[in-house]
Amino acid sequence: MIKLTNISFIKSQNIILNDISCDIPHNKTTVIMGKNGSGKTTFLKILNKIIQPSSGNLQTNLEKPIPMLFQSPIIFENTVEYNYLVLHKIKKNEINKNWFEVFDLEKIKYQNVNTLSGGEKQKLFLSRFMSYNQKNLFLDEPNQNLDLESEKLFVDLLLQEKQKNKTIVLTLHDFEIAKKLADFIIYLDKGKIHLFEETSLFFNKFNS
Amino acid sequence: MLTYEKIFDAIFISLQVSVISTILSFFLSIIFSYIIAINNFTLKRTIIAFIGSLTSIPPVCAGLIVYLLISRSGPLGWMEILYTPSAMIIAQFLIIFPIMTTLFVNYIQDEYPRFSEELTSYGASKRDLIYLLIKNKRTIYMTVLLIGFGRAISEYGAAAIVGGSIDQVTRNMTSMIALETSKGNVLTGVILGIVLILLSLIISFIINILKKKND
Repeated sequence: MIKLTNISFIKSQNIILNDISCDIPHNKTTVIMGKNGSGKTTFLKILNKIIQPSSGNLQTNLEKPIPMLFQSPIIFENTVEYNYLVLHKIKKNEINKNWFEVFDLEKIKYQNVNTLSGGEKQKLFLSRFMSYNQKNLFLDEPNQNLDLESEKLFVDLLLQEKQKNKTIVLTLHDFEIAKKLADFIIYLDKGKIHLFEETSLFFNKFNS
Repeated sequence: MLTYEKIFDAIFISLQVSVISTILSFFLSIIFSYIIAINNFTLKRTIIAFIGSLTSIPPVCAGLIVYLLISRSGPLGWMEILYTPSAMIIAQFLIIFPIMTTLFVNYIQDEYPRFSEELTSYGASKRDLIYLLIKNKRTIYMTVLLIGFGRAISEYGAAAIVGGSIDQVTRNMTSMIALETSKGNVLTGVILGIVLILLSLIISFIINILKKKND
């Protein structure tokens, strides 16, 4: 369990997260929802120890940040294949190209990233992220720019990952996808938890 | 008497001095800007502001500073490089180094936090980050290189003061344009002016292509 106690995050005198306390269950999928600027990304970065909260306490088994899918990931001015492999090569990791094939990137592997569509870029980011094969998955708006077909592929893949008892935390805007994937849903509003419930209960309460 | 040989020499001297000063400034400004942009130290903001203010240094003042340093009675007078291409290279370096450094510092300060935040989570070290930052967006480096070269080749004043505009030794295109026009040889001035404008246009054209590629 990842335990947050009275977590606040203030940046340039703006309160991004305001006194948040909750427990994120292990081996479950938790979806963070909320309007733009509600603090979803900051919440995810704090969970992954990428940024330190201004106050409060975070209890987690993570000793250091693990690979996370960012909302606007870094893209290198090079080919699709280079972008997939470069971080593995730097760390001399064993290279696993399964995810490259899953997202159908083989046919565009020599293409320069500047020529890709938003959806193709997102598939590259997802495959790069998934190739790290981690026990915990943190994803920030992973379905952005994906067409319906690719979105379905992504949801199916995440459902498969869920079967492996992974702890998955992701931010989403789409309630339908959240319903399919989430065990728990957190709804943030102006940096505070507005609602945190098990999925079916969440929709009962949220709609009323 | 003015010959084509002398005109070609002026073009060659301009290119030689500007290419060397640009390359020298390019590599030193990359190293310097990474050191000041990535590390946190007491005088960081002051140094960045000071270098920023040097970007608008008038070329004649840069020339004057170098002149005072390398003239016989100056602290670097022992080098005996006054009125040589080496002195012109130093003067141009003083003009373009702050420009290139400021552009690089801005780029690194924008990108490094983003790189550090995301790529550290993928296990990248500080050294990996710098490597990736240099390799990523190579067009930015090309753009800065061309901006520096454009400024170096078109400056008038600095190289003339410390080079002395010696025929076929330190007389570059801008000095020759000024000299020949003042002597009434307007045609020569116009020919050299066209060469200089063409060079500037080619540089602008390449920068625009690179910018488009970068977008």
